[in-house]
Amino acid sequence: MPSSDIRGRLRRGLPLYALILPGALYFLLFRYLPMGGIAIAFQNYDPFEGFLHSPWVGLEHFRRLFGDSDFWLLLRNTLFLSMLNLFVFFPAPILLALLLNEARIRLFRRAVQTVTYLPHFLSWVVVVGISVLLFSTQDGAINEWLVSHGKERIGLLTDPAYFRPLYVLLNVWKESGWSAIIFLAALASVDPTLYEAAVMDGANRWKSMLHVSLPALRGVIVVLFILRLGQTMETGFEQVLLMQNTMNLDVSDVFDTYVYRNGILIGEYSYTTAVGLFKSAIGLVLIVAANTWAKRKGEEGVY
Amino acid sequence: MKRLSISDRLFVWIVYAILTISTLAVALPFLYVVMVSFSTKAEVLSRGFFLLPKTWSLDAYQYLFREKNFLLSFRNSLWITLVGTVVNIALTSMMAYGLSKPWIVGRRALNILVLFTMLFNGGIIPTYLVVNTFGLLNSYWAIWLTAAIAPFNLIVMRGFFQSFPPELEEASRIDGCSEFYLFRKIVLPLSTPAIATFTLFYLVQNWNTYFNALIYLNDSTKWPLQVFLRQMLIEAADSSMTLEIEGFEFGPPVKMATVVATALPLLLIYPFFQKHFNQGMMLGSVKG
Amino acid sequence: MKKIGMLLASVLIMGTALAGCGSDGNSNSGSAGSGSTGGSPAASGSAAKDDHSKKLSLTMMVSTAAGGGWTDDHPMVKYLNDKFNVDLKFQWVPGDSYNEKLNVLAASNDFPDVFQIWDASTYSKWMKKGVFLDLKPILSDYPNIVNNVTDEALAMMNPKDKVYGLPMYAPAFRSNLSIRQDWLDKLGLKTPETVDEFYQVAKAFTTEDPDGNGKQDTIGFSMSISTAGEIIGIDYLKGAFGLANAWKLEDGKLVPQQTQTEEWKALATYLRQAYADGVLDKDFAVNKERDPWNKLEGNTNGIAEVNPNEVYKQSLPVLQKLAPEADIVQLAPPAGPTGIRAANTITSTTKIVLNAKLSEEKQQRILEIIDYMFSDEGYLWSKNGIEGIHYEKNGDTYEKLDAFDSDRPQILSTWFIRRFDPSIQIRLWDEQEYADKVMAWFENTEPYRWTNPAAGLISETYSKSGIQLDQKFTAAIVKVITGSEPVESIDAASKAWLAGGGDKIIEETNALYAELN
Repeated sequence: MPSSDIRGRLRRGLPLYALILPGALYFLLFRYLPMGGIAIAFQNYDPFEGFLHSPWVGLEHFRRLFGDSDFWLLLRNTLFLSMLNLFVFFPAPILLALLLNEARIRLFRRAVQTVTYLPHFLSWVVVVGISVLLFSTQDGAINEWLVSHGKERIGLLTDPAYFRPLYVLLNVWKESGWSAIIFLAALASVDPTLYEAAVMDGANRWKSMLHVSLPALRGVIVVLFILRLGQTMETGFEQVLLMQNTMNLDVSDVFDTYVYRNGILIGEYSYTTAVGLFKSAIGLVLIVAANTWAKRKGEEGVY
Repeated sequence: MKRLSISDRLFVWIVYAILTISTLAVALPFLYVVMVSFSTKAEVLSRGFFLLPKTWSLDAYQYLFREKNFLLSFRNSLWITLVGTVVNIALTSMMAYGLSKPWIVGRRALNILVLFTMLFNGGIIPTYLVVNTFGLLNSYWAIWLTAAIAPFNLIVMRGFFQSFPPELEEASRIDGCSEFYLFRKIVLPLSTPAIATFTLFYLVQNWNTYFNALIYLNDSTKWPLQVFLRQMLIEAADSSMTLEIEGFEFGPPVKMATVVATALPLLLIYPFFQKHFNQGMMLGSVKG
Repeated sequence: MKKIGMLLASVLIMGTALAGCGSDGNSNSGSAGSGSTGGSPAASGSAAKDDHSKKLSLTMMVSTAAGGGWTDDHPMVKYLNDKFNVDLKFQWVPGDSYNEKLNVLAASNDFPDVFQIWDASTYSKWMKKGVFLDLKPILSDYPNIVNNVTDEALAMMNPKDKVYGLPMYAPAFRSNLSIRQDWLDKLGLKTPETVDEFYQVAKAFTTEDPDGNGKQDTIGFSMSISTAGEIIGIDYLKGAFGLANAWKLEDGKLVPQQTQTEEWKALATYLRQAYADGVLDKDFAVNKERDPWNKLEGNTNGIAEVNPNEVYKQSLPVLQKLAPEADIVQLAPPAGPTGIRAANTITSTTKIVLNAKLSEEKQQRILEIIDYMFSDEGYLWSKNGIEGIHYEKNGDTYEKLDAFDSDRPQILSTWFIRRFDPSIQIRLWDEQEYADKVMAWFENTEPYRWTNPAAGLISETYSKSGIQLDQKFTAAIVKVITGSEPVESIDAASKAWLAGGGDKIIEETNALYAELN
């Protein structure tokens, strides 16, 4: 690239740099400056000695993590839950947005949108609390119904087999409506003439949803999907912790809950940070891979 | 209006059926929360899941609206949310617009740096020390500045700006508009759905501020509503941490009344935003 | 990519510089601990008596439960401000975030003047760092504290000749076993005296429809499992089957409960049967700590541990709305196979500490305030609030005013510090008959005291992996209870506990015990 061109682009971009500057300062001061704190993953951090004087221990915390007899169990459980999130939870709001877009009665559409948006504002404590009322063995609504129909009680909350389906169900229930907003906003930006053209070409509603609406979401979906991959190791700490119990531990124990018991609860920040760093590193690898793949497919990607 | 074909009619029926069922599935448990707030403790403990209380009671709300901490923290939350959202939207939209131009030098590097912060962060203690160094402790600026831009929102917003047709920019440049003018008078007004969406996202983020407030503000009279809510729900959350504390048993109605009162403002503002991302933006008209 | 590298490098440099700031302030505190110059107060007598002429600003951090704390203009705060010429700033931190707040404050070494330490291992670690003021030399100036707090509680968790914190009192028998007397009467049953009789009663409560609604929707008893991996709510059964309250002393050595495999097997067999028969709550693994009690109040559970203070004011009124003839009475812990009877016994390990960096003036003023709360007058004040605002005196009787419920003046005594007195929750206006009834619960339980000799001793290994180990051990027990593993699997679980770090925990805890006793 000729240097004069770069200079030209720099000059032309000056007003834009002015727009970028405040945000860039924010990232520098409040995001990158504290990142020095990652160093404590390689220390035995002592709050009274600070980052500089705490003893360095190299990779000890990572050895402890990888050497833990539960490591593979945690990895398996974490990945399992994120796969469920990726393939069951992730498409739900897209579907909701597409369907809402097809519902042309304005009042109905608004009502559905408002109602599905609501659960986002319930904290997990409340949501899991309600799920206990519905699913508990002794007097949960579902088991009461089963018993009154002469069937056996099911340990929906305690039998490990039900933990994963319930986990993703609660996620879908709580967040679909909220997550659909972004897709609805994208659909609102679709040029209406495109639909008219589709009708002209003889497409029915189903076809125009498939061939006009869905492609309009393509860009957002790809970006969100890539970002989601970066969060692969995040399974929603609060939700899992609240849904976890001694009987489903074999399937419900994930890195977040493990580190809660072994780090956060006891103020051991070095180990907490080391586990976090491991999780982030995996996310980084996945994001880079997904972005490279997306670019090869002609998508914009996230960087 | 044209008559729908059979396949279209079937399609519409299915759409409405699915939406109705899922709305009910979401509404009923939520309705339970609301109904508990209007019921009594005895009823909640004995009845399990219900949709209509046998004895209606306003005691929970009466208690709540007499509670000084509730009113105080409600006011704090309003202030935190209003100023915070203005800061958020200003910084995010400016940066997102700047980064949306493909020809900007250093764009890729900045994008990567932003993305990187979604994956890696220093954790609470170093951030706290930064806030402390800048003398922001015990000030709302600690909350507003530490959460000034959500990288996710920035990235998605950048995508929205990128979808603007390049002709728009060219046209205005020929008219001799400056970049600032273009951004303020043309781009922003045309981006109403995106701005509305992210304003809502940030409003909700600020309204839900809990941990940052707790950590950065030492003066508990400055705390937002979420801290109050947490104090109400605390027992249900994790009893082992409060094993030694003899609390007051407010009972489920007061707890759920707090949940409802905390969520209500966000419910009330929703229609104003909904309008924007439902109407659609006439991007096409610009092209013509 | 070069540019990014440069940027990153400069950021890292700034980061290190900043980390320096964080630790600079801390070096002072280190020396305060080792040199014992800055932190230790002057010996009593030599210090001039504070005459309150100077207004002092004091900060206090308190962990809160439901409802949160007071506003700054609260009458109780004003009262203290005027009485001691201070400007009190309270920080009411929700209990479940308290430790995180504390750790952040530690990083900047910027603690409030007075605060609480709930976590025993934090207390012992930070004590050694010189964070807390040693109160030993000055405590004798505060007779109300000295005369009320027991020497045992004062010495607990402290090195010899040091007192780094004042103990927060908890009634030993806050959780007392109770039973539905009306259910017993209805089914024509006797009060159970042994674990076998207990089982028969609990089974009848489950199967013979004690609430008379024609449905089998009641349970005999319940329990829960804590985040820390402990089975909670059945201490009376654990004790009866010979288990220790976490640790027991055997020939001067501490032995942990996890090695008592025979006792565990007996208990697990008992609970396994109860689970299979529906006598034990099928949802026990999902329960929160208060759920067994909630279920008692909700007319579905027949036997539960309750706080006597709340039985008459809360549980019975709620329950009687559902079942008008309901009655909850105390149940003595049933005797185990060898005749042991044991009750849930709490040893508080919470400490109230003063910042080591406090000036002498502040030290004195704070201790005066605390001493006041231990005096007769101050104790009444902290329990009942202010006369004329929170209650009224009419001749010989007292009357509670509405402001008591909305102001909650008693929270300092329930959440912060209080006298060593089981009647801490009994108010002036409570009738003598009520007070007697509540106190009787505590007295009746006294013979079944079941103490943990190692309370407050948290070993290095325990604080690192103890919760994980305990949780695994409990998970194995639970598998036996639910019938998915044979009773013998407890042997393996115990061995795994020992091998995973239990051996070290035993060794270290015994060393700590020897050091402090």
